Amino acid sequence: MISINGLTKHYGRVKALRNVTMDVRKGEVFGLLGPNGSGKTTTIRLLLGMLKPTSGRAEVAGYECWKQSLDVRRHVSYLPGELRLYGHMSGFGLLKFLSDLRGGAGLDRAVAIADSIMKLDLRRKVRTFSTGMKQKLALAQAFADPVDILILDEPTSALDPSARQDVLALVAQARSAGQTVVFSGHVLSEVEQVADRVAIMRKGELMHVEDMHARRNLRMILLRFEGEPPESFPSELMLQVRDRQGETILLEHRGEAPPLLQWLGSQRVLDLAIGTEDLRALYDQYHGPNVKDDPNEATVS
Amino acid sequence: MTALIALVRKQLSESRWLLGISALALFGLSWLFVYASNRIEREDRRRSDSEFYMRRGGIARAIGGASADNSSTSLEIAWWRHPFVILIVAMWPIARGSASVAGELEKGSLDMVLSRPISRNAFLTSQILSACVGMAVLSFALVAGNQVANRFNFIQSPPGLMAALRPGLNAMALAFSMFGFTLALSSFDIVRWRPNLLGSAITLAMFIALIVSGIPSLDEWKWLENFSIFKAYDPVDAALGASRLGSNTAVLGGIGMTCLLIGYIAFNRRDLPSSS
Repeated sequence: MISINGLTKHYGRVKALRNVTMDVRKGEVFGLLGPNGSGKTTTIRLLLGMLKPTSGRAEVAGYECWKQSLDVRRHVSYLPGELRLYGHMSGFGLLKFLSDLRGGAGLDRAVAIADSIMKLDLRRKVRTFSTGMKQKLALAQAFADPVDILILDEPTSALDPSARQDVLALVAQARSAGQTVVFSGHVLSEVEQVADRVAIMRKGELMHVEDMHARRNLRMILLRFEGEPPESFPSELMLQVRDRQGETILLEHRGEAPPLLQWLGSQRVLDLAIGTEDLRALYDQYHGPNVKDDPNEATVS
Repeated sequence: MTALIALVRKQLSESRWLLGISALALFGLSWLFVYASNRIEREDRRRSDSEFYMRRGGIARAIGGASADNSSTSLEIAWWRHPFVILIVAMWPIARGSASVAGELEKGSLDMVLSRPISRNAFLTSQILSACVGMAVLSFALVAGNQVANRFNFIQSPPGLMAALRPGLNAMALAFSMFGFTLALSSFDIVRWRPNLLGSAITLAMFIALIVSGIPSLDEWKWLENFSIFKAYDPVDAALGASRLGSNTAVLGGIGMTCLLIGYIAFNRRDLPSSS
């Protein structure tokens, strides 16, 4: 649905995006993660044809993003990260205006979402709305647009916890309806909750793409053996050594549980702990306090 | 078409106060000019006919330029070159021109609009259409103020509707050229204050150029008028015989159109960075 190949964007001497290659599949929720200045918004603006790539190519729904940006935008609904709405309009007026820009489509659904889910008084002027209410209003329009792709740049940044859950539910609903969602954000737990795959960006580079379904099956196993731990493990168990310290070993397991349990029963294990690893641990590999300026090569799992 | 109309309505709605107050001010000024003309004529009626016409014509030429004659129409319409009128006529096109691209970009509202299926050409066209509607309203306010005031103030031979509409058209063409170069500047920029400042500075410089070139003791600076759009703003000529209205409108319209073309090209080729 979205294909990015060697995409690069320089602003003068500033390299905002460097040779990014990735794809977003039809019907998936794709999370874009990274701190401010990592290139998320630049990527999104390139996809919408607001910026001209320095080199490389991006396609959305088969259309080239710069030269055919109008066709791209027919298929995309976008929620900007830096949201600025027209304060002189009423809530309903703004929804109608945005809907008119798409030929009048989606107004009824936008009003329904704003009214029943976001609980907004659409008769009020937008200038009297709080930041969170403005965000809800724009989200109502984004989710109402009859499009194939939703691009949401930090959609929950100004929302209260219950509204955040509403938005995540709407994202899941959009995926169920077959829409593709690109979702950028800083709150890892939210991205973890809804994303099918996640890309981690750093200083304009794509560092890692993670399949979240595989990650949800990931178990971290800490074992203390009686004596030296084995040097290698049966390959069918899909175990990888993360750390080894004397009699203790930390393993990463992505396979089925029963064969693992059977194997553990045959070992001289004194103690064990099984847990999961959240997205934070992965994110910290690229943005944690111990990361040096020259990061590892990009990886895909 | 729905989208274009929605954009024009939005732009007019967000600048309705500026437009409304400017139109009211022009209507009032136009009325005031008729009242002033009435007072001049009333005072002069005590003099002999030849003195009366000479004095009236002198005032009209001093304000309205060389095209003015001794007629009442000349005296009334000459005031349309008063700096107050120019100032108010210039405010709208410069404000709308600078708001068109740089203003929307600076506010961050361009993101919401251009993420919808609206081409950049359509967006800019809507800006031009709304600015033109405003210019028409302002010109009409000048004409309406004149025509209504003539019903309440005795003037020897007041201008008819057509005679007042022609200088109105000239004023609209002047505003269009100002809008053109401000929009062109705005199409390159990311902040509104710069095209606003530059547009105002260029307008002021051209106005000063016209004044300097018209001072009799500064004949060697006469050439300066060729660099002023105000040379093509001659409301008195437009009202009296319109001998140069066609060429003046073509010059002002041509400047405006050329600048708009530059604006279209620049806007279509440029990056639209985020407002942060």
